[in-house]
Amino acid sequence: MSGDTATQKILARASGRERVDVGDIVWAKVDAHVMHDNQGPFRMGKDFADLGLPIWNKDRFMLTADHHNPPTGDSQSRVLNVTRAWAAEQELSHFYDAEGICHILMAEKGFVRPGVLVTGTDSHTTNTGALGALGVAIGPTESIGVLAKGEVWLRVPETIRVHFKGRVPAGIYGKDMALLALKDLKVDGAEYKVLQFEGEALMALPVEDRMTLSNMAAEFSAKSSIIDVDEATAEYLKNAGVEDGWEAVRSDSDATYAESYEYDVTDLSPQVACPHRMDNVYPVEEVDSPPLNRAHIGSCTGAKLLDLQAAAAVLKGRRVAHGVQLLIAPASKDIMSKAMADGTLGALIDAGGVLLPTTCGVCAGRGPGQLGDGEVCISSANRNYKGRMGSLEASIYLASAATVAASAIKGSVADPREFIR
Amino acid sequence: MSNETQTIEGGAWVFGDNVDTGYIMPSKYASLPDEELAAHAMEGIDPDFPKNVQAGDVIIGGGNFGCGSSRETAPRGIKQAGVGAVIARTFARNFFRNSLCIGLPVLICADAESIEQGDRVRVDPIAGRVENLTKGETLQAEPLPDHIMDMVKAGGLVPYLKQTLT
Repeated sequence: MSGDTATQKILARASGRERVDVGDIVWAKVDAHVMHDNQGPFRMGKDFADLGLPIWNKDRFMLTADHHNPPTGDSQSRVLNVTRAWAAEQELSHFYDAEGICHILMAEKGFVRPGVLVTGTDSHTTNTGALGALGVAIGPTESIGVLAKGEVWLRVPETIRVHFKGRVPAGIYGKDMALLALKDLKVDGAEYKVLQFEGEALMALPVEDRMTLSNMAAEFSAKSSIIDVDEATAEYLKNAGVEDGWEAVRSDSDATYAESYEYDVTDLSPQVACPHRMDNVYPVEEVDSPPLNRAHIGSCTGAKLLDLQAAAAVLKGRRVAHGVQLLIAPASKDIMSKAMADGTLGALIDAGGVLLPTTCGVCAGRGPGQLGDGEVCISSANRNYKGRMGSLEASIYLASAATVAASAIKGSVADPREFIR
Repeated sequence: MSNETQTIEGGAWVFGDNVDTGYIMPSKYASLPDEELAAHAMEGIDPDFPKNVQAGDVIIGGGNFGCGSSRETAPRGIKQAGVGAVIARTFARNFFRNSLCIGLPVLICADAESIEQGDRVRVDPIAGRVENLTKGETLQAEPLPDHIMDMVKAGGLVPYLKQTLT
């Protein structure tokens, strides 16, 4: 008998079984659950109230208002007000209103521990993989079941191993590695499967940047993602207030994988996903873009402190090109405060950056800065299909925050390595 | 609920591989109430769909139908627009689960793409049977586990929970 993947072990534990096989369907206990305003009370509040059941565990449930917040117009105001009223009515202990994007708050506030199962009403719930937890997306109606019972049915998925070896060169980030793999595996490459990101180059990244990969597992259509836990993870967890009560879970050395991929990043160039698909990826030197209207550093994928710092290292003492608007939307208030304290935000604003709220904003096609017909944007976010950031007639390039910053200076897609000393 | 009441019949609308939920229901409509979503169903890929779709019509996808965002407005919007079922070679898991939860039949059918635009289709979601009335062919969908079928028979997760939890 071959060994088990980390995913099998997590699901075995969550379902109270000794072990599970790929293909088994299990009812698994959820350790933490998150819901946001866009897939929350506005869609499921009434149905949940009709059931008349209490929330299974308010200490392990987070609600965020991060999509329609601050609202623009009547319909968004209505969604936000329904969300706030439901939070009050349910007497929630963890409701965060315009404080940050749910996946980042889940990590920052210690809701994610290694070896556990997390559910969330958002595709990027896969973000938890960087902390060794299995995060699985569901919708708002299914969320009713999780809130009532604290469990969810899941099919035990196959795992695909994606190994990054070599030395991470200057100017290369988790985003470049994610896009490199997306180019190869494609947007349907991990359908129903878990992506296990590993290797010395991956583990050399700070935990926050490993999150860029676990977050973007959603772009491969993955069910979830998983990354080994190391000392850096333990340090991250400690800062989030999670000091003990967790146990790292690792895939056995003889675990079975559906597929394996290996990439050497030593000579990797910054990668750019061109319109209109996340797997339409080229090295930056092969991209000849039209003039940019917008450069966007935001979202749960690309606006963590290290993303803002990487952009500031490129932009410090420089100015964005005429005709380009640089938008900065830190992924949480905590990130914004830290970026204020260390001069990062000042450098970005001095370079011409416009500061936006610490919510999903443009990446969710909401708030100020959305794209109009014919406009071109480069973004550190996660998706670039038509209409993602406003008009169906706009074009979106995706890259690391450093590449977004370099492109803002040049006025078209540009290589950040030219600006890093 | 009898099988008869759940049989769906209508014209086929064929879309290809990797249809993102952002095309099924563009982000900008995320805050609309359910009843206003119908006017924008499939707008990101076929702006004329909302005005041409008829009640009981069926959407045919290729592989990975409904990938991307886990937004439940995608299946809700097409259901509100009158779509009776979605048949695809494979589904992205979020769209698949969301559809079952809200009571929109989704059928995994290896030969889904033998159905062409405009073909007349009759679907029995309980039996997993898809009849192409135009071509005179019958396709069999992949069987779903019992606990999912119980939810399908109940008409979605909420009625199912009402039956089992309360």
